[in-house]
Amino acid sequence: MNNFTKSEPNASAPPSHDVSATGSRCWFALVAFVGLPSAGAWCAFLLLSEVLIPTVGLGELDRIRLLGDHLRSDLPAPPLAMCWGNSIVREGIDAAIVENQAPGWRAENYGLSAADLTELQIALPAMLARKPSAVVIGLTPWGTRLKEPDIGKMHAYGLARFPRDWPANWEKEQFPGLDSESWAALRADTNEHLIFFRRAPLDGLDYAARVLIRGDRGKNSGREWSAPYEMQRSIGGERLARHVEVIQEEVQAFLNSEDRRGEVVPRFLADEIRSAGSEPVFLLLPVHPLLQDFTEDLGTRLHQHVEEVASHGGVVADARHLLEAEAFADAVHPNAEGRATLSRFLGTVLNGRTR
Amino acid sequence: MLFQSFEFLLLLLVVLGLLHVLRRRASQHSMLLAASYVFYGWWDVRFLFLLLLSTVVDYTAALGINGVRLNWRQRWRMSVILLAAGFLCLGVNWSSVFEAWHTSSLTAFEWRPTWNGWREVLGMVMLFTCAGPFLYEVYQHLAPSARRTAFLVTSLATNLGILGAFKYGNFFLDNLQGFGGWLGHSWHLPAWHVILPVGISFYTFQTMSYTIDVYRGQLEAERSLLRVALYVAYFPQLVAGPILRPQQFLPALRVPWTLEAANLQSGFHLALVGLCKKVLIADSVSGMVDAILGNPQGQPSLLVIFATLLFAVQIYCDFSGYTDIARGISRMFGVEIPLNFNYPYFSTSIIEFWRRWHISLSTWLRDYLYIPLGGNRLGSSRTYTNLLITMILGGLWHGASWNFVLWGAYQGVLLCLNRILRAFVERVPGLQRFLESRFGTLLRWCVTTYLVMLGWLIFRVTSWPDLVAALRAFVVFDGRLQATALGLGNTAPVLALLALLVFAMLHTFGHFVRRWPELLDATPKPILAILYFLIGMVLFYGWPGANEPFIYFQF
Repeated sequence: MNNFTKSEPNASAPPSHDVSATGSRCWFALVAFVGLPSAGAWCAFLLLSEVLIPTVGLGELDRIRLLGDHLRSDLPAPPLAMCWGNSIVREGIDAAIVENQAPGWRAENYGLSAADLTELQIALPAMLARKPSAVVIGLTPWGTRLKEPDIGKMHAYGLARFPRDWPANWEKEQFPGLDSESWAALRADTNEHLIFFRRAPLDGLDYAARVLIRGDRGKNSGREWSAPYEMQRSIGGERLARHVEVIQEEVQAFLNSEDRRGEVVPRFLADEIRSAGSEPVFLLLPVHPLLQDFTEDLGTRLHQHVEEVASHGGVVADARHLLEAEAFADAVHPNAEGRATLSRFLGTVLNGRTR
Repeated sequence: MLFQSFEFLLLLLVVLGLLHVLRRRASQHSMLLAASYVFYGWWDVRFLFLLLLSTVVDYTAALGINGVRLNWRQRWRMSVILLAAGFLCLGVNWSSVFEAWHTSSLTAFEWRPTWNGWREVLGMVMLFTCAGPFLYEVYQHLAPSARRTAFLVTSLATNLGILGAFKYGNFFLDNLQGFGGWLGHSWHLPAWHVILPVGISFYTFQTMSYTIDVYRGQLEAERSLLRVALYVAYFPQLVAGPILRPQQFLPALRVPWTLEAANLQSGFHLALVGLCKKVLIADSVSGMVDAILGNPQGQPSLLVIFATLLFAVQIYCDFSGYTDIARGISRMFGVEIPLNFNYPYFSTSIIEFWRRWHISLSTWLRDYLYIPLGGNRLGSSRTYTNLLITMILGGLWHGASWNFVLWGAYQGVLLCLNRILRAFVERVPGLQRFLESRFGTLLRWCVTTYLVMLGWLIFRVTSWPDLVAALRAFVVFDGRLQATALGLGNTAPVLALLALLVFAMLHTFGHFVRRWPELLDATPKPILAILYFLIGMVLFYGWPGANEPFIYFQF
């Protein structure tokens, strides 16, 4: 160890320029060191905001951005039913079948992967601004569970300008599912959202590649508002059993947490929808027979709760026991058969409620 | 304050501007010292008391060792500084002090002891302002040799005391409690919830080398308090090294610093390379490393090996990136800081690895620990014992945790084995020729790299069950190819792999062809302008979501 040397190669010493630089050369150098990389960063920002995000998108979160754009474009003529929910709604409702079952109605499916009621709170004013006749809220028996806020999603909602449609008096306290960080992300300005998504084009490319490679991704359905389903195959056997297990664990964790923050949200949503002259439709989504016993109490409690909320105006459509096991692609999502059945069920609910 | 933050860029520009404008040496030093205190205080202003305390004690001790007596004016100045240190140490809630002058709301502490009244405040102030001058007077009445020793011991005790209290206090108490439990006693020891001050291990070692060198007669004690204070707190290398020796820095303070365009450019290139290492490589792989090595149980071998490789790259790019930035900034000021990393992953033996990795620490340990213990002068068994002690303490320097002790012991054993093997090979000419051939060199590199990687696992994984699982997965390949879900999204592994490949290519080029900062220095200006622009673009896309602190800040 006493052989240690400092190994300082001569090459790493500063160049020994004997010409003392003038002040202006130093200032010029400093300006170049700061200015040129800053200019590069600024161009990278412009490239991101003007080219990459509009063309490549945000990957999995791009549907949120596209929904914002869609709600500002020409929508079908009323009466329009806007269907909101998580991936079960996305996979389980085909608007064309709904319209077929409820003549005169137009329907759109705004289902988003892993969406919870907080996200509906965020998006609702933009939806109500387009004067829908009905807002269908798809709920699982554990639908009042508020997830840990996803900062990426909050930035996506912010980038899609959803908060701009909020009434002036909306504060963080009205969102039991948001913490300070997610609130700040939601309320950040557009440049901050864009900077947050500076690596999103990579996600976009990854998403497109997976759509191309994996067989169970039917189509790139980010812009699809009628039948945005993606799943093409059903699972069974051990994989299905494992999926059921995972869902049970999730629900059990929710029950154990005794988190009741989400229970106030349906009333809040219903009040907002009614005050905008629209009708709330609480659609209790189908439950796989393997999960029905486990979720029965939870579902019944939710049914009673939304019944009470809808008693001031609104509809409760309970589809929890609507589908057989064969109508599911996995433990929660309907397959083509289930989609057709659920869509017809919703159409039947809407039929005759034309405004 | 982090190097990769906007506020640091502002600070640096202000310092460079002022350095250019201020021509007097003392003004430059005062400004640099103020900037250094702003830099450190940005993290937590209260911990400046450690820097102040260390400065005053080492300045006084070094002069005392040299037999220089402080005059009353100097003593008065010391007391004022110690008083300031005392107040900072109290963690005073300044608004309450200014508004009501009552101390019941002195709750700005993040460590547990609470100060309940003015008596404690007064006691702390008295301790800081009176104990030092009292001891100083006592030492003046000792015989010269005893006085020299007393000053040295005071300096070492202060610095090691600071390190012991803030870094090893919890470790000691926890282990004492555990030991008591093992003996069947339930000891209720006081909790010591103290924050680990950033960079404490670096600046305490640096200041100790100053008084030790003065004591050894290798250095004259510095008469200027300002210069000693700047040596202790020089901000480019304050919180993560390299550990500067007084001989490397103090001479540079005897002449005014002037900005030169060539130094500015060369320093900027070095700092830019360091920034890219940190932001584009180290931070890109940190998520994967945390996800896998944070929970290695049940992970397939392939993933553990991949994560270990990533961690090796991460810790190198993080630490050497910091050093490059520190050296680059100092070079911009016109002062050269010595090299701290010299391509350690191209080492072909463990001895060589330690000559190339964290050079300032390994040379510090050699000069102030290994050689005073006897080095290799007292026979083989003492040499190996000294090596082991040095490396175990070197491991403990990294953190108050048993895995660092184990890592140090592991490195110590490897160094001993390396010496034994080297002695054996020297006696077998055929084997020596083979090991010096191309294939032999490649073989030595493979073995060294494997052993270094194994060491990084011990370094990174802190819990024993996790470490056992990780080591097993690393050493015994299980053949599993299916990775478990890490919850990092799809692009994180691809980005990590990309960072690994880019690092391997650039690092190999830098080692075998030309160092990147030098290549940039020699690049024509128009091409440099385009490169700066492109690097700005790359940094925009590659910048991590949050500015991650440098790993070595925690040491």
